[in-house]
Amino acid sequence: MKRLILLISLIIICSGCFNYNELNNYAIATGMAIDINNNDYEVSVLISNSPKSSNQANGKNYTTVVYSGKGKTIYEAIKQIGLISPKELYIGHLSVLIISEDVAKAGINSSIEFLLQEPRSKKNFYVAISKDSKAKDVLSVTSPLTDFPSQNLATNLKTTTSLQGSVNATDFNTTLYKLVNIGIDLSLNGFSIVGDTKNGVKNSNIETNVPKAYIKLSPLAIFKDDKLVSWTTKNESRGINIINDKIKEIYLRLDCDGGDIVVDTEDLETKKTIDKNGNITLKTSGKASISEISCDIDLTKQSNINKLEKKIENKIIELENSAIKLSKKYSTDIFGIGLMYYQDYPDKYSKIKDYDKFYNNIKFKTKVDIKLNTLGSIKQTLERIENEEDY
Amino acid sequence: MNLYKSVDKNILYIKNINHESSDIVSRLINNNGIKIGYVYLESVTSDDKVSEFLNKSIIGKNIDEFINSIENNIYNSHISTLDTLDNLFYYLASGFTIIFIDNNDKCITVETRMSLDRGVSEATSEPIVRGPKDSFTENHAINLGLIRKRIKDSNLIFDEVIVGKRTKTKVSIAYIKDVTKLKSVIKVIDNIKKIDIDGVLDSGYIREFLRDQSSTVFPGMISTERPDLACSSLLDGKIVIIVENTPYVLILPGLFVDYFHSPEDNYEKPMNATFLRLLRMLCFFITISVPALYVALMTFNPEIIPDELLISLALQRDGVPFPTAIEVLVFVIVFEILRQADVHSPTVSGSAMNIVGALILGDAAVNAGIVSPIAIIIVAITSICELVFYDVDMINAVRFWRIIFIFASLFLGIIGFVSCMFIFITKLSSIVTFDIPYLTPISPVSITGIKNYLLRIKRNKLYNRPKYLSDNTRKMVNHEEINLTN
Repeated sequence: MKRLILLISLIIICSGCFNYNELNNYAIATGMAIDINNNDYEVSVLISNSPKSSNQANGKNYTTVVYSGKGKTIYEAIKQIGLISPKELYIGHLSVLIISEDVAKAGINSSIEFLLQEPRSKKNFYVAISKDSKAKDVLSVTSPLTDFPSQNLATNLKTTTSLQGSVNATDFNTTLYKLVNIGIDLSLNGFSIVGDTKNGVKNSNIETNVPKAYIKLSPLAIFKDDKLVSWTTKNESRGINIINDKIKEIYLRLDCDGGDIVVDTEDLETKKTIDKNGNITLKTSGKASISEISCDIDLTKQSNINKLEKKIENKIIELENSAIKLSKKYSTDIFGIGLMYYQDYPDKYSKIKDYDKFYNNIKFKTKVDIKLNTLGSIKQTLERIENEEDY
Repeated sequence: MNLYKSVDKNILYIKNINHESSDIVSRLINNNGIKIGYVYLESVTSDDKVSEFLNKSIIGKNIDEFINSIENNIYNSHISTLDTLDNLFYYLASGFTIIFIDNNDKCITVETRMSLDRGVSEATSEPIVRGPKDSFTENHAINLGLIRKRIKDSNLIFDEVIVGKRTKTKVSIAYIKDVTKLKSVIKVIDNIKKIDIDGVLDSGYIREFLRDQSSTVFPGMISTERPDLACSSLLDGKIVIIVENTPYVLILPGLFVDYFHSPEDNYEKPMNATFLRLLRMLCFFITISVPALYVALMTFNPEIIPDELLISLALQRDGVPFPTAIEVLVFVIVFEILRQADVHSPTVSGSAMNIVGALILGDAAVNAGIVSPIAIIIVAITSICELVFYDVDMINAVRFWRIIFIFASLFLGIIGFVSCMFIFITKLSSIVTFDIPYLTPISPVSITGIKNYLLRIKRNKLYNRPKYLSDNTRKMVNHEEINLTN
């Protein structure tokens, strides 16, 4: 008992509350934006716990505030924010980091270094690039559907990743992995502002039925080392994501006589194999179902279905080829071919002198196998059903 | 000390040792020259019975015959003869009437007790929805009867020990001879015999003497007022201690898992009972750890809290002048005060209490910005989970550890919480009650114990009693035969 009392008193005396801080003394940053301005970094943080009024019983009353600071380094810029904010800045709950296009073009290594060093930051926030606008503005535009802008950005990334195919939510860990590892290059999503930026940052933006400004996800930006080299088109993005095996569902529009057919894929899976010369075989397999038909096609015939499957396969090959073409154009290894080659044939990899040249000479073989297993809810097109009833 | 030959002297002696208390009643009857006298205490004796049994038996009898076979002539079933003065007052205080006869060295005691007990009533402190509703009373004989009524086995033994130098309280140790481990029964009886105390007014007095280790807050004995629980414990091989003048009997050993039971478990469907037992386990951990976790997360480790919750919490905390730990501690203590006030306040003022407690302390405190709503929620969850246990001693133990956990979190955050959890579990596993480790059947593992007490398996699948409670482990002796006949 005496020992226990001694132990407890020792804990109380010696610990000194080593890490004690009340939650309400923090300014919780959920979003961060990095811009460059006359060779100075401008870091903006979105602080999400600023109470609107003194009535705290209503917990839903979130308002956010964006503080910016400037400095030669990111750390200095954040220290500048400390001068403005009355509370201690807490970046442990960062959910999204927006890097402006300018910063990305100059190289993102130096700007994300701070977040890697900082022990209190968690490493699973999303990283994205702002396209055609300041990163700060992307962070500031309010959204009527979520409580605060950073949440809007993060959920937007998360949900569209599984639904669209052109988007691939990349978190900080993956970003670092791709930056640090040899033989793999980075591709990040972009955000752009549609509409009136000036009014979009106001709270009134969420009070109207038609928001004055909103944030839209753009296709991927591809990087060479840590520098942004090009934006992709939507189809190229989808090709990249298919090859990287990042998406399961994707919609494809196919031509058919005088109309369109839209199919949705399921369980799309791509396997990459590499031979000793560095040549790649891509095997894509999956299922597809029809979502919309606006042409005259008899889906009860097996031959038509086979034709349709062939069309889907060709479309996917087309998407993949466009992505391969783009990556060769900038000789950026967004598919991680070099890493695969290094893992499978380490001796040969070390002998490569000019990697870009090696990469451009790689031959890609694409094989796609799609099964059209569901035909939607109705077997015939609406037009055909109507005609049949006429007879 | 032997009786005096003279009736007068005997009566005088009794009056003297009690300093002529006002409730001593004595009468002398001169029956054909033979002096007969009787004494009783009118406070504990029924006057009617005295008149009925005694006067009728004594007056108008053929005296010679009467003296020869005096015991046979009194119309009372509870009668004995004494030849010493030592125990006389104990009999008087128990409601006996003592008859002295001149020139006779023996006196006769006749039971003429007045019923000073309330009848068997419903269990008030352990109410259940389904199951027997009767409860023990203050009357020792009735209490034994409530058990005997349920177990009509000749192996059910009541060993009686009288404890208390002044109160002379009957303490009965009940056990089933061929089920309970006799070694522990002997140990318990020895321990009770060793008790040297002025008075025993409740089974709580006995409990303190029976604990091997006094340095733990966890109870080692279940105290209950439900005869059905006492009987099911007896059948499991436990020992029941019944103390005179209290409706609360002790069941021992009380192991950790036993406190997660409700008597109702036995009458529910096995699946439901198992679920409820696991739910109570969950409540135990909630009630012990939630305030401490809250303090640790809010002040040391906010990184664990999900984004949106964190912001909501931070907004709620905004403007509260006290540190989180103080806030929680104050409210935990305020709740305990409320509870204490509620337990001892008459029902008439109950509604006033509710208004003050719920409205003023809860709502007004939040609106005034003194506490954050989340702190109230935390304390409310904690308190509600605490009320799941029906054993007051367990609740007290939980309360004690909760405060320790809060302090650990207050000084060391989540590290403190985890270290405190280690200490807590170590402490729990080091307790031994009546030679059985406290955490049995969880640790050491006993499969039959788990089936019986941690979960509840279907009764027709429970063949054995756990070994740690009984040497005679077979519960269903003729199970195979039963199966065959079906």
